[in-house]
Order: sequence, then C-alpha cells, then structure tokens
Amino acid sequence: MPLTRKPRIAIMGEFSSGKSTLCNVLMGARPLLEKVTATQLPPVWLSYGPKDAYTMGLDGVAYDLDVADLYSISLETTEYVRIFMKSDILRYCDLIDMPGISDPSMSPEVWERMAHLADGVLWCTHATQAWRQSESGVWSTFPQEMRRNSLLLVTRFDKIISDSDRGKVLKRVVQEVEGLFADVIPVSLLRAMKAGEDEALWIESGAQGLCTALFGIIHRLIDAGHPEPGDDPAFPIQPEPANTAEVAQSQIARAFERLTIIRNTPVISIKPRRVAAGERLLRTERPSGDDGPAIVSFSDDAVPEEEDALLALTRAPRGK
Amino acid sequence: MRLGATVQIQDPIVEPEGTAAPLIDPGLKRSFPGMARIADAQQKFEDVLRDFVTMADADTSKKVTRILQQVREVEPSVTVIGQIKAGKTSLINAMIGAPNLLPTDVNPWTSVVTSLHINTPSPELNVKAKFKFFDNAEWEKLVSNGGRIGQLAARAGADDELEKLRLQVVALREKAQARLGRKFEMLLGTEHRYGTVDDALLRRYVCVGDEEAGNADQGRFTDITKSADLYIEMSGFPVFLCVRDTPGVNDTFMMREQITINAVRDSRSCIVVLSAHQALTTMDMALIRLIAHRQSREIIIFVNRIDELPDPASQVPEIHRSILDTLEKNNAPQDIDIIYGSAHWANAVLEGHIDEMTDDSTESAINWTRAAFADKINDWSAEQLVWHASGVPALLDALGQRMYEGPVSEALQKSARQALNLAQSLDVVDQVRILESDGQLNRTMTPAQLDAELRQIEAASVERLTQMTNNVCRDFTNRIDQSYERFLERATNSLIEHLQANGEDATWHYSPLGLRMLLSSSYQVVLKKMHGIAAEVNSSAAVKIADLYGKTFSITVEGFKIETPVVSYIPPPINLGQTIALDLQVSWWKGWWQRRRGYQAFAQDFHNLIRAETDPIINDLKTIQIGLFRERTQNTLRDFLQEQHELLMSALASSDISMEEMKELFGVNAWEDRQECLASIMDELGSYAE
Repeated sequence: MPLTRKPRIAIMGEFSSGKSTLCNVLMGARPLLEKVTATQLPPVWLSYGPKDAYTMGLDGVAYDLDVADLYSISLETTEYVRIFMKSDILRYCDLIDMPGISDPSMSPEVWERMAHLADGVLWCTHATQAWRQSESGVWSTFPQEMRRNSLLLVTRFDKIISDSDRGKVLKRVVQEVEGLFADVIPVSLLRAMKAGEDEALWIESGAQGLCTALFGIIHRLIDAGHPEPGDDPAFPIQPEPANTAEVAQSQIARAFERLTIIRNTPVISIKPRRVAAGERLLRTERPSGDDGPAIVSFSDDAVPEEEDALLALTRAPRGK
Repeated sequence: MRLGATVQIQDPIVEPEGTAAPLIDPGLKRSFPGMARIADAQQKFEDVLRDFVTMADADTSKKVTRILQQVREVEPSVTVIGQIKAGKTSLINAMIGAPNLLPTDVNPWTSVVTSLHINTPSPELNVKAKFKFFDNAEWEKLVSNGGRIGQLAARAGADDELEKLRLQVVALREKAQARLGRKFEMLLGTEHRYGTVDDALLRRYVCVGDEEAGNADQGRFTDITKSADLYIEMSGFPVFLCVRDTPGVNDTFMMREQITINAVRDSRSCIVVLSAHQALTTMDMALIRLIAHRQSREIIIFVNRIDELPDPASQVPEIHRSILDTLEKNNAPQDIDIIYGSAHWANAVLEGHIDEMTDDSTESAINWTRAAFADKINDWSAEQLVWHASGVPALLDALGQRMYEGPVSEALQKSARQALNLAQSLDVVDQVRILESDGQLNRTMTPAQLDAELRQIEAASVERLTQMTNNVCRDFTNRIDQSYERFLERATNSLIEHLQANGEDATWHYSPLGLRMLLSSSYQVVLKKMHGIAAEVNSSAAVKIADLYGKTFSITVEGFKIETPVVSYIPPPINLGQTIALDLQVSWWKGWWQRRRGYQAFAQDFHNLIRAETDPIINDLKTIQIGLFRERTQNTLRDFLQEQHELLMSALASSDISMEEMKELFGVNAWEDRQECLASIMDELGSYAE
C-alpha cells in the first residue's frame, strides 16, 4: 500500500535545543516563539490548509482555537494543538513540534502520547553539548524503524569556532549515533533564518544540506509505502498546489521545488516501464468541520501490472 | 538577583615575577575579591597569636605556634559540578586566573576528579602532582557490572542501557590494555608522583584523549586514574584553596557519573555550573537533589556561556525567572545564589585576547555590559567591563564570602578557643604566683593526685558520651526502621490500588520524595541531638576541669572558665540524594513494567526492588554517617581532655617557680606589662571564640 497521507515529521530534542527555531526556519513564517527557557506548549501539529486551528483535548474533543491564545493553552487538558496554514513546507509533509525533553516542569507523557504519530524525527542537539545521555536514553525508546527516517541536527554549529573543533565534535557525534539516525546534519538555524534572500548564506548555514536530507526522508517515507519488491521506486511527488502568497518566497520553498523537479525527472530508464504509475498527490487529512475526518489519499489508483521477474531482480532491494 | 555587578576597590597590585601570562591590566588578574577577605581575617588572627608567642614561655610558645600553623593551613575547598560541556574546567581556569592550566576541549575531556590545591604546601616533599589509580576492588566493581549505574539499570530492567554499559566496559578494558599493555592491572592500587605539573603530564592522566589526534600519549593512564592532586603556587592568590574539577554528568559514557557523585562529598561548597542556553534540565535537578541536603549557603549556581546568547540583557532575566520557578517547584533549598557569566569572556581577558573574540560574542558582551554595568561604561576599560561581565569576580566574591562564613570562621573559632585555654592557664599560673608571693597559697595537690583526678574526669566523660550517643543511635535506628517499613507498605499498597483501578497496562510511578524527606528529617533530628550531647558532655567536662583548677590551687579566679571545644563539620549524607530506581524517568520503568504479569508479582517485585535500592542508603545513614559523628565527637572530647591534662600538669609544675624568681626573670615592669598583654590577648581571642 502506498502511504495514503503526508509523512509526519516530528521535531524533537531537549528544551532550548533549537526546535522552535527549526520549526520557524522550515515554515518560513514565525508562528511559534523561540525561547531560551522551556516552552510550555503541548505538541503542535502543523498541516497545510486555509488558516484554522483547534486543540485536541485529552477528552477526545476538539476545541476551536484562536492562535493568539496559543500560550494560554492548558497542558493538563490538551493532547495536542493542530494548526493549519499555507506554508510551503506543509505542502510536502506535516510537522509536529514537540515539547522539549529534560524539562523538569514537563512530564514526558506530554510528548510520549504523541510520539507514535510521527513517521520520522528531526532531533535537535545543541552543538556545544551535543548528544548527551538524557537524549540517547529517550531516543533508544523509539521504534528502531524510525531511525532510518530520522535526522540528528547539530544546532548552533556556528558556536563552535574553529574548523578543527567542528571536525572533532562532528566526528564524535557521528561515532556515537552510528546506526541511530539516517544522517547527522550540522546547522546554524539562526543564520539560516537571517539568510533572507542570500543563497550563499543559506547554504553556508547548513540549511541547504538539511533540506536535501529532509527531502530524502520524505521521499523515502512515501516510497516505503510500497513493500512489494517490484514496485517502481520513484513515483513523481506532487505537493499540494502552492498558495500564491507563499510560493517560492522562502529559500525552503525554492529548495523543495528544485528537489521535487529533480526527483520527478526520470534519469535513465533501461527498459521502458510497463507499469503505469500514478502520480502522487500529497494531501492533508482534515478531521474537523463538516467534512468529517476525511482522509484524502494520493491520486494513485492505477493498479500496477504483473512485472517481469527478470526486471524485478535487476532492481536494488528496497528496505521495509 | 546577583548579576555579577560586584564592584571592588582594587588594592595596589604587585605583578608576580616570572609568570608566563601575557601582560594585561594587572588589576583584573590579581583581584580575588572574596578571597582577600579570608586572607585578611587570617592575617589579623595570626597577628594576635604572634603577640601571644612573643610573651609566652617556651613551652606555651610551641603550642601557640602549632595553632598558628593550623590556622595558616586552613584549606577551604569547593567542588565544581555540572553536566558535560557546561564549561566547568574553563570556569576553574578563569577563577584561579590561569586560563590554560587545566586542559579543555570541544568534546567531553575531563574524566578524572582533579583537586587543584592552590598555594597549599604538598604533604610530601617535592611532590607537585599525584595520580591515584583505582584499586583492584574498585576496578572490579566498575568492570564487572558497570558500577552503581549498572546496578540501577539492572534493577530497573533497562536492558538497552545495560547492554550499552557492557559494551563500554569491554571498550574500556580493551583501551586500557592497548594503552598500557597487557599487564596494566599491575598498576591498580598504586599511584604516580611528579615534582612538576605541566600540560603534557595532565593530558596523560586526566584527559579522555583522542587516539587519532596523533598524540598516543594523551589519555594514556586516564581510564584507570581515580583522582589527581595538583599542588600549584599562584603568587598573588591570597589564600590556600582547593578547587575540585569533575567529569560532567549526563555523558553517554555513563561510568564517569559515579566518579563525580563521590567528589561532591569531599567539599563543603559546591558550584553547580549550568549552560545558559538550556538552564536547569531534569539532569541538573538530579544534581541539585544530590546536594540538597546541604544548606543553601553551600551551593552557588553559575550559569555559564551567556556569551552564546544573542541578547543576554533580556534573556538572562528570563532564564533567571525560569530557574527560580523550577527550583521552587522541585523543593530545592531556598535562596541559592545564582550568578550569570561566561568563562569564555574571563579567559579572553586573562589571555589579553578580547579583541579576538567572535563578532557574536563581542556583541553579546556589549549587550550584557550595557544592561548590567550601565553606570560603569564610561569609567572602566574594555577589559574591566568584559572581566566583570564574565561573572567570575562576582563568583569569587560569593565563594569567598561562603568560605569566610563557613570553614574559615569555624577554623578560627576552634583555634581561638584552644589559644584562649592556653592563655587562661597562663593567667591562672600567674594568679597562683601572686597569691603565693602574698603567702596565701595553699597547694592541696601533688602532681600524682592531680593526674589521678584528671584521669577520672576523662574516663567519666568519655563513658558518658558513649552511653548517651548509644541511646540516641538506638532511637534513631528504630525510628528509621519503622518509618522505612511504613514507606514500603504505603508504596506497595498504592501500587496495588493502582493495579485494581487501572489494570496492568498503565505505567505507575511512586515518588521517593516522601522517603527522602522522612530520612532527611530523621537524620536532622539525630544530628541535632548528637550536637546537643557533645556540647553537654564537653561543657560539663570543662566545668569539672575548671573546678579542678580551683581545687589544685585552692583559689577562685574571677571570670575563669574553660572554653569548650568545637565539634568540626560533618559532611551531609550524599547517598540520600543518590538516584534510585524510583527517580528514573518513565522510559526506564517501562522495561520493568512490561516484564511482569499478575498483581502479586508486581507487588512482591516492587517491594524487593525498593528494598534493594534503599537499603544501602539506610545503612549508610545508620553506620557511616552516625559512625562519622561518633568518631568526631569522641575525638574532639579526647583531644580537649588531653590538652587540658597537659595544661594543668604544666601549670602545677610551673607554679613552683616563685614570683620572686619570675620578677627576676622579666623585671618588675615587664611583669606588669605581661599581665596587661595577656589580658588584651585574651580579650581579642575571646572575640573569635564566640
């Protein structure tokens, strides 16, 4: 079965490790404040759509939310906050901004009960104190399958001054998380945010590398919906249509557009494909309102034909 | 809130000779505000003792000189703790004004508890550095089950953690073998001594080391080194001081954790170093819990790395509010001093490199200086501003204040009482001589009789102390055992209730806070009682001895009294704050939880688990802590009686010298001077003895 919804990427890490900044960088807008001290918010689930928001109570009832009241939400009664907005990144995936771990005033249950929703995790660790036992301990409790769909972001990498020191830190972290993440990405999110239209700065901040890796994961998550070994690996990805107000305004939008084009351009086909692969329109589930909890799937209704056994053998085996 | 805004009037400074440090504003480097106060107090006290020496007879002089020595050698100590990479080592380097003394790195680097003895003379001639290796038993414990952490993981059913520890242990062993050879175990239990301290030496013993960095010698002995003692002379640093550097907690290399926890016991003051970008995590709270059984005056929180905040002026107050909030919510000791700063800035000043700081760092420094030292912007040089912005002067000041109020005052009090007793006995002898010269003296005791009387007082006092202590200990043990059983019962019942109400699938958590509070308050009660007993026995012994003076010489001297000795400081029980399975985060508990089925199994296993985890803590309280107290009070009493024995016997002997002879010795006027001098010394000593 193909993935019938957009991949959900959770943003996790210790408090003040740059999660909200990351969220802001990815969103290109700034819906969530970033603070040095722990942000007292339940998980915030961001999805593409016309501006709308609700809170999901622990009683299972959704309550309308005015985003201006975001910071007065009760942690005791709320499971998560759902916000819809037309932001470029959300055309490709949903984001779940989780509260920080290791916050003495926040029970781990607050994020634990949401963790199963995520397909992959962007784990933020602060460069100067990267990858501590408290992080490693929590990450070890996550399902192993998640590891290959998750990235470790070493944030505030610019705080480590010399090149040799950067090399040392990265070397240690890579060694310690071997097999625990798909990749380790050093990044300076504040610089990425300040980069504006300057692409050189954007690349230098590490944000470009982050985009490429994240796109790779979204891509893989969608493909992972195909457990059959013969399936074509590269269905074209089609994000939701852009909001004219947002499109291509942010570096992130441009990076993703570019990667989509690359992904959707067939490279070399040895044999003409006999399978009519449907293209994939990524849609958001919208459980609120009159529409009911409608889940809109990919426009992928073409049934693949029997594939020639020989051809199947020539393809690289795909992970489960 | 203390924002590092302590302003010191700096004394004229003498730049020490032969230091390799670059030339910077000497006023900055050599200002150790709070420390100077200690030096000052010690100096004044020493002056009094020196006056005493000049007027006393040879025998007394020797005793006073011994007290003088004891005052001079007071070495207050402080342990610096915190998570990995909080900047503990850099902060220590900045505090003692030697930016590159202890080696630092961007990766966790310190793996040994290093005691830095500033100016304290080494107990062994020509030994400036001493590295102790683990002994066989300690090493075995570490490698057989990963030490305490391994035990904890095993009990909580944290299999992943256990496996990780096992791998670490294997790696540790292999590394030690590769670095030290197959027979490295021969080194266990021994120590290495060196006559000098240098960077390469330290790197061999206290740094993690990096095999691929091309320096194979780095970290060669580190894995098996337990502690390092370095004796360093810092001309310009006004006092003796011991600073302990510790490996950070929350390292993925979990075995270092216990090393740090043990080091906390050895110092009276603690600096908890936090990192500004993430102040006070659950891990920091665990550290604070560890030291929570101390008084808040013994703890200082230093929030380091504010140089990494883009806008400290507004972020620091925000962090401050949040820290206060968290401390309050978690029942931490009240009124802990919190200081904000940056070891990075301090070291930049010390090295004369402030113009080489990054733009971000400089901007933060300017931002912070404008907020915290607005009134000084025009008066101070850039170096002065950055130095104060670093928070290091404020930290030294606070630390000096703590040490002055605590160990230093106590040491002065103890010494003053000893000296005062010496002076009192001189005074008595003088009075005896006056009486004798007037023909009014009636010696009623021979030395043999006096000796017998003294021995009787000694025996009776020691006996009484032992008996009273035994009684109190018995009560304490009973009380603790009872409340412990009650806790176990309550916890198990609460578990069963939970199971009945929610079934087996919901994880349940029982806070050990109640048990800790209970143990802590029982301990405080017994501590108070023990202090009471010691004071009572000591003072009644003092009264008996004072009576004996009267009996020996058949006189009563106006205002004569014997000062009672001070029972020295007893370190608080550290194990009380040690992490036990009940403290663990849900993730560890889950493993335990998922492996059990059936209410009975849950209740029984849970009961056993708590018992296994808390028994050592209870035993520690009952035997080690109480034993420590027993030993201290007994020793104090014995030392005091011994001292009085000598004094009284020598008073009896020296009173044989007649007044006439004395006057011949000193001359008539000098004799009167001596009387006045003694009176004034007793006055001065009296002010310290209170």
